[in-house]
Amino acid sequence: MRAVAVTGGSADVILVGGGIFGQFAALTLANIGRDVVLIDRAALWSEASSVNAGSLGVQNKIGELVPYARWSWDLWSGMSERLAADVGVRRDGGYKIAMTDDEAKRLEQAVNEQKAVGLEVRLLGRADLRAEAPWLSPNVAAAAFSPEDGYASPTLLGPALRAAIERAGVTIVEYANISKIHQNRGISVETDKGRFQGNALAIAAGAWSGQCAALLGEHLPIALDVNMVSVTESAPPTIGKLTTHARGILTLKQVANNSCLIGGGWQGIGTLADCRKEIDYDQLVHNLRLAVRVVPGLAQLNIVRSWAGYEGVSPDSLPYLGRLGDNPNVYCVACARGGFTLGPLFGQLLGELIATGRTSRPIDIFNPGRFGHA
Amino acid sequence: MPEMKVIHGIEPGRSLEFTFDGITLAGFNGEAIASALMRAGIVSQRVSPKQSAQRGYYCGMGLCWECAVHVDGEGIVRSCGYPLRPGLRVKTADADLK
Repeated sequence: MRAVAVTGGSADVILVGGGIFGQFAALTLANIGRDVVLIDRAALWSEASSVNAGSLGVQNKIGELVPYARWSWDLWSGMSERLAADVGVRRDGGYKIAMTDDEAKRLEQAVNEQKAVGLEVRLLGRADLRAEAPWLSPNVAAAAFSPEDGYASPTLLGPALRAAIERAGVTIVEYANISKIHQNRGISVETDKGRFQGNALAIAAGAWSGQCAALLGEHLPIALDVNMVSVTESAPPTIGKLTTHARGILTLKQVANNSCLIGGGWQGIGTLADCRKEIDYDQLVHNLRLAVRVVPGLAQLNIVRSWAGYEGVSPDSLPYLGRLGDNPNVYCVACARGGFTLGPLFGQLLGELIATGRTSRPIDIFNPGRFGHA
Repeated sequence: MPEMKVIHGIEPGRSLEFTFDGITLAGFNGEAIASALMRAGIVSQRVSPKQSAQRGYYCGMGLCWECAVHVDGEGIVRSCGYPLRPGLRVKTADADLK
């Protein structure tokens, strides 16, 4: 690891935000020879990218994002080789479950829509599930199985990705607070760690991207979710495969160290302003009760830890990716529902856009300016 | 033996016997399982699932779960905070996994 204290400098591209989007964008740009400075308000990989539950679900994405999740999987599949490190990628499929007849109906509709965009998925009734997934509760009315779902380890990916961008020559600046951004003759970013001069600037700051855009006089609406995740002790085989809920209120998986991860976007307590990320136990109880109702084997396990993390959300739940505002050299990539799944692809697409002015996949629907000015 | 600080006025509970993986050990009523295991020279209570490395009492305050053991009739507990009682049957936590 380099121990040089960076105090200002210049680069082809200044990236703000050291999460999964920012780091994959940095890697893409550095690999084609661009000088990149990556600035973060704290340590790299310390927010949503690091504290999410690691699901790489395709089935649980909203319709427009299903093709993007599959394209991102093309990158996930070779990730351990690309980064020369085990990052815990596993793709053995997943169940999206329905507990009531009403949910089952909605699930069937979703399955048909997903088949239409090319996803491999099949619908299973109670009897099928009893035979194929006896670890699921008999209360599960129906489920869709797709062999395309999987997961990776955010804990393993963080250090591996950092090592890769360091090898590629990216300059990393951590714990830097941005006070001003000037946009005349290139772009200069003023921080308490010095002034950084660049030809292009990209905001990849997740939930904080709205604050960064405001420094540029741009409107980027972002709401904040505070998602809770819990992990059990290491356990005998309990959850056969990644399991999500038709209503998006539960994710379950058992990972390589045999512990079970329980998520589903139940809300903790906190705001960007008060910096709190706390467990709301009243909500957590519902999250865990639902988990036990779906996978009864969880009932006998201890929860070792629960935590909460921020997730920035756009008004239409689609990510932001593209040019930000009128300056042709200012870009943004942020706020995907399922950002961990989409991260490698969206980072790469941003890198392509900055380097060549075009992208290998369409990005029009992600235009950061789609909500107009405030 | 390292020098020990004795806090006066705190008396141990009655002496008792319990078992750890079938071996009979001595302890005091109400003390933490981890404390009695440590005095018996047992520093590792379990084996890590991925690399089979020795794991044991670490944080001592209920957070890390490294000292987990299996107690008969109770399931997996943290040995740093679970009180001993006479005849308690304790096993390595991983025994459940095999």
